[in-house]
Amino acid sequence: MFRKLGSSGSLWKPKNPHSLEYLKYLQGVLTKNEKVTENNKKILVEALRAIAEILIWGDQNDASVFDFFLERQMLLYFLKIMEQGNTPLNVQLLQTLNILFENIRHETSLYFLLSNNHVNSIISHKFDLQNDEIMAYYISFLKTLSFKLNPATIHFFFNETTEEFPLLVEVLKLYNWNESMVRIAVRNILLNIVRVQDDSMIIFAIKHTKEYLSELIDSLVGLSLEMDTFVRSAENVLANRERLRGKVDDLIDLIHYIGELLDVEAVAESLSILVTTRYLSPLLLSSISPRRDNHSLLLTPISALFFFSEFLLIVRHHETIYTFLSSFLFDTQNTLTTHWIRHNEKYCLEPITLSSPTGEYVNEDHVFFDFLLEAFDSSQADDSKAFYGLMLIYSMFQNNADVGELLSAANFPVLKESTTTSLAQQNLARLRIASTSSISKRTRAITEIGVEATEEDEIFHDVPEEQTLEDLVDDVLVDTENSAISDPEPKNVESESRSRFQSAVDELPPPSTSGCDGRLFDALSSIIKAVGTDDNRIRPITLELACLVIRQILMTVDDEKVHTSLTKLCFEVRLKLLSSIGQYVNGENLFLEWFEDEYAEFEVNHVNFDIIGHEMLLPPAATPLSNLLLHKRLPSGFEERIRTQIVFYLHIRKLERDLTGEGDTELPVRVLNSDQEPVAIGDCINLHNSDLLSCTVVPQQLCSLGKPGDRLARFLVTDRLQLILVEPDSRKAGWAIVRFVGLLQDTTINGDSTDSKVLHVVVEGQPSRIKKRHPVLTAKFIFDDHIRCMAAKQRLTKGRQTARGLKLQAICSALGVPRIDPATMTSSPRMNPFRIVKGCAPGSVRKTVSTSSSSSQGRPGHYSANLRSASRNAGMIPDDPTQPSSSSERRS
Amino acid sequence: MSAPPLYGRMSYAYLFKYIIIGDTGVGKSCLLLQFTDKRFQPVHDLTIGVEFGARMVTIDGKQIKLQIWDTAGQESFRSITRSYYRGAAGALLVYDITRRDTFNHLTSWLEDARQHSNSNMVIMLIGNKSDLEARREVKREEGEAFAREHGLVFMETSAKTAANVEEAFIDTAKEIYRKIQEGVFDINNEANGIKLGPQHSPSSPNSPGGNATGGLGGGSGCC
Repeated sequence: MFRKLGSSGSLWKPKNPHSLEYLKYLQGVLTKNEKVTENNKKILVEALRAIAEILIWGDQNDASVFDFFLERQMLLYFLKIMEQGNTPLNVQLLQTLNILFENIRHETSLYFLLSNNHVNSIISHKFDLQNDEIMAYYISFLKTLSFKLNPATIHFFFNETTEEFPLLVEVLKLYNWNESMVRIAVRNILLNIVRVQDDSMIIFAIKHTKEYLSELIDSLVGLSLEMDTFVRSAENVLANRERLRGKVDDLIDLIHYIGELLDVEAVAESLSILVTTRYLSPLLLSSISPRRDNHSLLLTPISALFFFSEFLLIVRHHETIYTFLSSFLFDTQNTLTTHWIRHNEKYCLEPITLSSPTGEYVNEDHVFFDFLLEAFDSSQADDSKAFYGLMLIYSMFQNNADVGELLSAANFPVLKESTTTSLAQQNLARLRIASTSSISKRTRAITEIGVEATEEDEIFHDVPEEQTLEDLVDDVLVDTENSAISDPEPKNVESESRSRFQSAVDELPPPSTSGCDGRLFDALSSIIKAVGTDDNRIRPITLELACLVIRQILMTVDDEKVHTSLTKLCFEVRLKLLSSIGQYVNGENLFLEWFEDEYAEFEVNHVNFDIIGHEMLLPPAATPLSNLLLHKRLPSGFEERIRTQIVFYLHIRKLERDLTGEGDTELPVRVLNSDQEPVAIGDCINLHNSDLLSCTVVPQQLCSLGKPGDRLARFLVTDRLQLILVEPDSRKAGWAIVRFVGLLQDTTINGDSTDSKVLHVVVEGQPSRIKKRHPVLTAKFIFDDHIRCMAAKQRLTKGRQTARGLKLQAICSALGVPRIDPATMTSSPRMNPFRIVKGCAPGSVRKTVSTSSSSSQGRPGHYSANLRSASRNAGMIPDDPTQPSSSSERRS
Repeated sequence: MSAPPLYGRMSYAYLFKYIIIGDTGVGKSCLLLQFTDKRFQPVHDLTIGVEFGARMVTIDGKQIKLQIWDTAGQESFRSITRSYYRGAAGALLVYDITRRDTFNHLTSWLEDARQHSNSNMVIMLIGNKSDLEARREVKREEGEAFAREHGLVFMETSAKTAANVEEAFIDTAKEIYRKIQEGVFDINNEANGIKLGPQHSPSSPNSPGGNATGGLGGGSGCC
């Protein structure tokens, strides 16, 4: 670069881009180019970029760099450039500002950058936010600044005297921006702002977020109604479930956000009132009670139960949950004073005007809780309401808002242990209830839930007569005082609800760990009962959730009567299911696979509401075409009905044994390989006395043995249960290394139509909670001649029959049904040789192998194999006496 | 002179949205800056990063705009983290090879990503700070094994030396583009993190020029 004639020294560009001299040069560039033109645009962009780099370098290496930047008020140049509105320059300016505030480490440097109100001028500037990069850098800048907020820095942003807080005011304008990352950043920034402990700023923030919070709740209402409309009309197919997932995720994200705002004391009170009066009461509670106005916008019951459950699982703000649950558990519909209606294509919250009350029905106590119980009516068309009713009960258990006292007062089981109270206090409380029952209808209604006539008699017998009279007098006085207190008109819904509950709780017994509303068990029992009926519409996931909820309740409720009746019910239902599936154990060739598959599925815990929460909202699917797994839909066809009944049986059996405290020694089903340990790949086994068949194995698919096209010389050996491929151990004559082990029961064998020396063999791996049933070996076995091939086929076919017989025997033992040899069965409930196996994927390798009567007449001992695990004496070959052959007990 | 920063009006076929996730201090914002803005020099006495960046790349002759968002500081708010995952087409999951704990936390990050993202999000595993070999605590083979086990693409990078930074972003973009061609991504659904470009129509022919190997795009590159 040549020195310009007459230019000052400050325009000489230093070589080191990270130095104080370079910053001085850049300051000169800014000074000389205050007016942005086409000619200097690129120079200025580079200058701004380089300033970011050199300042952060200085922050990390040389403090004098930052000092110079501040002394020369260089931020002022930034503002002058910004105000000229040149897009490329403003993109660069915002990037530079992002880098400065994101990377600066020294607090004093940060404070200097924040001083003189320059940052507020940048925040307030009207950038061209339609440019997506300007918007992205701008919102990132605001977010970075929000993370710098704390009591020490808040006053750089909030001016109490002039009542200005640009960061808050500007960010509120963007809450509905079309780019999702911007909307997310807005939420993040607001959460950061309201958490700062500064009283005057909080007052300002509360005032200026009022409208925002109200619109937030109203958008929750809108999202809920729109999602509900979709659910009502959509078919249960994959595309709709994916669209639904997006809608549900938006809604749950919003509930999470509201929950996080409710955790911030500053905004919690006003937000709680909004969410209670604009969402929980007029939408959720209204939707789980009888309709009173034809114009009301209501959710379908399953949507309402779902949102209610999600709200309880996510939000932990005590007052909000307490108010909501107390209304749900105790209130009448008179609590509902407003409803949502549609007006000029908008949703409006309006007072309810009841032209003519319907009388008794409208004023029924605890109408909302009754609705929950009715969700379990097994006469309903499907189990959707029952599923979400269970989800709600589960959510009440899991709620983190510390409302155990409230739940106990409603005779609802509580997971946490409540405080033990003395017997005398309990008796006194019960006496008070009895004596005041005639005064308060509402109290009597509650009393009927928790106190039985017998207990009342006991109370009177326990207390001397003169004390009884004194207590009666005291109760009258207390009641009078309560009446006086409650005379003033409540000022808002929240305090009204709380006031009502406060009155009620004073007159209720203290929490008791043995209390539980009997109707709750009746409701849960109805699901157990339903799965034992033919043509029920219960899906396995619903039963699984019901068992989970029952177990939770039984952990906290010690009631012998309930325990006994549940055990008896499980026993009866299990027998019913057994009588159904039992008739197919011996006759259906594939029952073994069905049972093993369903047992593996049964062991998986499917209750994860992040996944199943929304998948069950659409109408129950009944075919595999819906892409839903069987446990989340209704069965289609014979095989699926049996599979579903098997999994029902397994759940009921488990619940029954949990109730009786009895372990299950028969499941999972095991067949021991007589007295030998199972062989594993890599074992070294003694081939002495083993019948070997040499063959070349050609895998057709990639597997542990090799890849397609490989030709592997192996020996085929079998024992009672296993198909084993070995390779001779070159270091020890008569011993071999195991290369593959598979179960004979899961092996299918077919001859090759064109080559009599070839067998096609497929071995499936066992299903487990992690893996579905799938082939682990698909290969051709090529033998030296057709005689050996025939011998191998007979051995494998015979072995498969034997192994399957042993497994089915074990299943029969576990189920408690007699084992019957299919060859001797005179009839089967379904005997159709042409039946197509349903539910299998196209191209399924599972095939039925026909029984050959000739092979079953093989000579005893001909196919026996004696196998030993690797010898522990490395240098010595032990003597192996000949073992007597084991014969299969076909008729046992 | 390096390429100038992107200006929003340039035409492109698609916009892909990315997030970068991983523990604090693994170098996410440095990687982001290093990829989106070659004007900044990767030198050892300077650690510098940014939370947002955008850049053009060319894949199969198509101009693709990559928009990358860092999630720094958001971990404390569940509502924020859930939302971030759902709007992205690609994610770079970053750990620091000199800090064993950042590798140990990968399972938790991946679990969150899988649970909250759309099922087609492309995830690349990045072992960053490969220039600090003397302080390495996580072997390359361990990163490779983790990626293989979880079905991720793997790469070690260094924002300081710019090693592999380019490849890390472009490889994921190629994967996303391939999924679009296969019809896996529904490009009409913004929640997938993919947008059609401002001058794109489905029947438009391939734009001429561009580097067929998917190298630098959007301007002349140098140094």
